[in-house]
Amino acid sequence: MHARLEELISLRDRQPVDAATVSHVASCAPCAAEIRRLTALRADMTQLPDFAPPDLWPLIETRLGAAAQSAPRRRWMQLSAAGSIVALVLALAASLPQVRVANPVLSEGASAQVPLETLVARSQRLEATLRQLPQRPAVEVAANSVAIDALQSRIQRLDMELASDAAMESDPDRAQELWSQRVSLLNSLFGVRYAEAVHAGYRATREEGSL
Amino acid sequence: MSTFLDVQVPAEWLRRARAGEAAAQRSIYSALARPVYALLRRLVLRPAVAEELAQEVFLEVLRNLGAYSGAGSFAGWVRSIAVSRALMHLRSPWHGRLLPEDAEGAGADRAAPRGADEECGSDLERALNALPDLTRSIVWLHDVEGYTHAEIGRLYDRTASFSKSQLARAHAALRDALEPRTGDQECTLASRN
Repeated sequence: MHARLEELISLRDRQPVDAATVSHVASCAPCAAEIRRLTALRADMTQLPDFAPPDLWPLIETRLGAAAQSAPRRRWMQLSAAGSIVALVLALAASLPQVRVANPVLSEGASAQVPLETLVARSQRLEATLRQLPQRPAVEVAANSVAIDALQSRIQRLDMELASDAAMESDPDRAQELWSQRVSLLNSLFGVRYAEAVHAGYRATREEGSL
Repeated sequence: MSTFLDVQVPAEWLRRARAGEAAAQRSIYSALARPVYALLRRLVLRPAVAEELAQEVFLEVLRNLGAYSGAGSFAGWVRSIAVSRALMHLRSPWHGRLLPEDAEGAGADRAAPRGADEECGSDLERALNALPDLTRSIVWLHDVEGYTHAEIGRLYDRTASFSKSQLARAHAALRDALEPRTGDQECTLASRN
């Protein structure tokens, strides 16, 4: 029986193999030839031509600069994004009087049909799912960071309003509307965070034999 | 051929780049762009993906220069980041679904027929490109980049034995692609049985 390929590769790489295999290969011309072939193949691989890279520096420099500027500008961008949403809603309200201004996220029908208890449960499930996602990558994409920060800020503002007893007790419709918005925002936040995690290599499961 | 170990990055460049000097950052990029891109092309094949990953590698390197301890070569540190990025991509659930947006490059790399023009490369190049991602990346990291089985095992969250068996599988596939068996071929290795 000839040596296995794995053993021949180990011999090529001067890795330890059992004595019986060494003894066999020493007296087996085909196995010795196979080691020579493997050695030559490795040499051929190292001699393959390189790929010439495109000039990526302008893009890298831009992204480096954008990230450096994003931190101090983040608050301004959040306010700007929020202002844009408000402006858009107001413009829609002006042109389409039948659209409710109070809820920029969910359609009126959607919020009216879902019971409050269901919305609260959905909200809790989404938060639990978000906690299962990995930590955000060390190298952030500026656009993701801005979007995530904006969504989290809006959720915090909603939470402040929901924490007010007056809002919950005096106006059940308003409470339901706020919870609807919270579910929608959590959904959006999960979408961004999941996409970011997948881009960074996150995987929920790993199939045997695959990467 | 891997050229990472030939690249020498002066400590002065690192110091200036850490301080945010764009010229020094560009010098680092220029010194390492070719080996980084070439390695990524070997690992992920598709040119557009390799370009995107190369950008991410350099962004990570240049933003985290302070994390380089000085132990080992700087180029080796950059290579480890490039390998990590490429493997993250290959593990991604989205990998494999990106083909339509880069079909031209992928087609040239993956399915270059024998006798195609020079840009499609040699028989060896085509045989390598035809390997599954896992085996191709392992044979490249081991045989060309010089990673040990233990190192490869750690990269894939597996064992050194896993690396050895995948390497043998890769070489069996390469042999079949490069030297189609004939009836009177002499060495019938046990791994083929």
